[in-house]
Amino acid sequence: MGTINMVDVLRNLAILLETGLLVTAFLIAVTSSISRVIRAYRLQSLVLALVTGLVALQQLLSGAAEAGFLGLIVLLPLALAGGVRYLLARATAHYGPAPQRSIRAMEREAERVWRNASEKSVTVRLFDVGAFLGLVAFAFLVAYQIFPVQSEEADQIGLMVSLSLHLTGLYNMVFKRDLISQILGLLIMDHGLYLAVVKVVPIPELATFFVISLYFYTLITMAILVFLLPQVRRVTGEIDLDEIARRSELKG
Amino acid sequence: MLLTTGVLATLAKAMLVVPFGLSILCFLGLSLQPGKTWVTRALGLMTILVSIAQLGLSLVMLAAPPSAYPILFRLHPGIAVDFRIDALSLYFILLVNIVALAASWNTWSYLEMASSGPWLRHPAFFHGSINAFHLTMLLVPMLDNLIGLWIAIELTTLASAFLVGHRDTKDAWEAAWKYLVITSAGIILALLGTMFLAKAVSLSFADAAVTAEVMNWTKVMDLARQGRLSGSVSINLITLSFLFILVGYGTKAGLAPMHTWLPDGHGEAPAPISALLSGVLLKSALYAILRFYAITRAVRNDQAASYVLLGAGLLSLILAAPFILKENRFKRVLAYHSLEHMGIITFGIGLGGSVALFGALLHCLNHAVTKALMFLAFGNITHGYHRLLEREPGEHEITGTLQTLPTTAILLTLGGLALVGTPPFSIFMSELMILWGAIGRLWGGRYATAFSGLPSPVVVVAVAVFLISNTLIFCGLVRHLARLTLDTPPVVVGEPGPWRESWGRDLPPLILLALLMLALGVGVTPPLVDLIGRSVWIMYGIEH
Repeated sequence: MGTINMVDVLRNLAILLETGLLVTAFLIAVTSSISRVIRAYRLQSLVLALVTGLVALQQLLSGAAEAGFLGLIVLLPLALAGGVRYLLARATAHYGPAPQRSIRAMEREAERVWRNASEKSVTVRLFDVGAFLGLVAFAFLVAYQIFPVQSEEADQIGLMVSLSLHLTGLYNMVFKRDLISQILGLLIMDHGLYLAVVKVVPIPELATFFVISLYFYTLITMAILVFLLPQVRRVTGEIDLDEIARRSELKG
Repeated sequence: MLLTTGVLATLAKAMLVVPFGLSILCFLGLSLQPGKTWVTRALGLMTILVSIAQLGLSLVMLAAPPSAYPILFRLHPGIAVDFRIDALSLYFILLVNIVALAASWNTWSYLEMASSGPWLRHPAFFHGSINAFHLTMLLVPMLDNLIGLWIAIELTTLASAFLVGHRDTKDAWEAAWKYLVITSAGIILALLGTMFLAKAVSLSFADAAVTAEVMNWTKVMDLARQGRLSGSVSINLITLSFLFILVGYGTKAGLAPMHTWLPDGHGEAPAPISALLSGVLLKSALYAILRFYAITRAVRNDQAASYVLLGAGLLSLILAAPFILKENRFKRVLAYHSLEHMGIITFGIGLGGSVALFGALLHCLNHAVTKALMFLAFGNITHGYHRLLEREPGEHEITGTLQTLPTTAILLTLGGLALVGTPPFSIFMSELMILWGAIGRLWGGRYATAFSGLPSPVVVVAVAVFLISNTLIFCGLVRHLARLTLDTPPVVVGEPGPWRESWGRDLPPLILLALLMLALGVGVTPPLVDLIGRSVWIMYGIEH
């Protein structure tokens, strides 16, 4: 009986959780209700925070002093998991002339708007499932073709999941027809980026730079969620992208 | 010799510190009462003065001997972010500062017309943001560290997004939304591309310690030249990195098919911001692509990256043509022209060969100057018509500008003719060089073939598409310009009023740009030829 290697246990646990990220991405891709999509997104953020934490711990146990910086990434998905529902509800509901409402009332108002915007036919849902599977298959091909056979299995899975998150996020941004799903697509791409920093390019010496980059990037995400989304909602009065496009004068 | 590397490094630091300080000062002005007070006017004047000083500093750097380059420095010894100014960086710094000077002068005209209010509508916010935008665009060509370069490009987005929405209309916010969301998605892919490069570089340090410097462009190019990135995994990773970089930064550079933010963003932003977006921001993203292109070429030692760029350039050209031909708002037409010209530049780079590459780099400056002139001139016309039609009910089209604002209309027409490649203006010169490079390639010209390995049929098809698109685009813009300038004005123009063009406020930046446009068409000065020539060698990894 050999002794249990803690680093290996953490690595395997992280790999297991990464597949959880794919499952949540699948849920996001196929769910029609915006509320449920937000729930699945928050779950994905929590799973990502766990993966990041495990990788940082694993590197710390391996003696990489810079792993502490990687640990800082944990804060990003955790903050998003905690704040995203509030921010999206605020952007959806807080555009009218009476902003002095309670958070609960604001969320109820947002729920009502989201319900109206999230009707999807069976055909569309089937298309979403097909697209998701196609994108994951593409990510699999890329990940397993560019990495050498002798490379660690963790690298390949990490790359595949990261690319899958990027692609499904991009798919959401392009094909989903409401502002909230579009912004969630961008946030899912963020998740792919966080995962890439901790799993695909785990170079401890460069961790500081990449972590700083991610924090800078989060500034943009915050600018969108806190300032721009409410402004767009205020001036258009809509979250339906087709309706916004129909009324828009920005054509051609 | 006065201009030593040390002195130049100090000048470069000053170029970064001064707009940073001014930007902070302007944002502090937000605490003051909004409106056109003497404080906000003073901030505007300081912005113009700083822009003049910045251009002066870049001209001083241009006068330095080539042996003083590259300038390597850090802002502070304790901050492990390396800066590097070589010929290619200096060329882009010059480009940024020329357009920034014209744009900052034009903010005077724009803010005189725009209504003020708290926060976003506060003139101090506009001045603070435009200085921050200027600073971030200067950071891009100065950074040696490729992760730092990514951060700088990302900051350009942050600094400019609220300027795009500054008019606070439905269309302006929609445009800002598209700009921020689309370019953010692109920038994520660019960071992923940078990570792949980092992974490739780290593989070359099998046993040795990796330091932060490995992500410096200088270091990566050294590794490439030493053949330390030529393992199959590294090559694959770097190829993948280049593709992600092209899509990512290409989104910001407005290359097709990721250009969809361009017509909205350029069309709805205030005139000085449109000039900066089109003239400089697109080039900043292109600069980043150029740095990665140089790495990919050096590592792969083949034409794969050139093919991709050639394809992206041609696609942009083809997609731009129908939108320029159709009926559209004039600023949107100009935005599609940006798509076309970014296509021409990418086409020239992809074509390869020292002449085409020289032409493509020269085209960056020519397009920046001409497009800035067009946006600012049209901005002045919009501001003038806004004042002229204030008391006229109903919707009016902007027509007959030759009668209402004759000097601006003439400058706009000259800019338009330049934009479609009419001699003797600058764009004609650079387009001709790109074509010369292509034709020289077909005939086996000595300079054109020095580095280009593209097969002849590809070049023939590419040149045919290039010529057809340019001819169509020529017709499209001339039609738009004719209506804008020659038609009857919407109202009878009586006595001169406050809507008239002002020789102090409105015209100086336009005249500066028009003179530059003409001068660059008549002949490129030897220091500039030398600078672009050295930039070409840098891109081929021959010179530092």
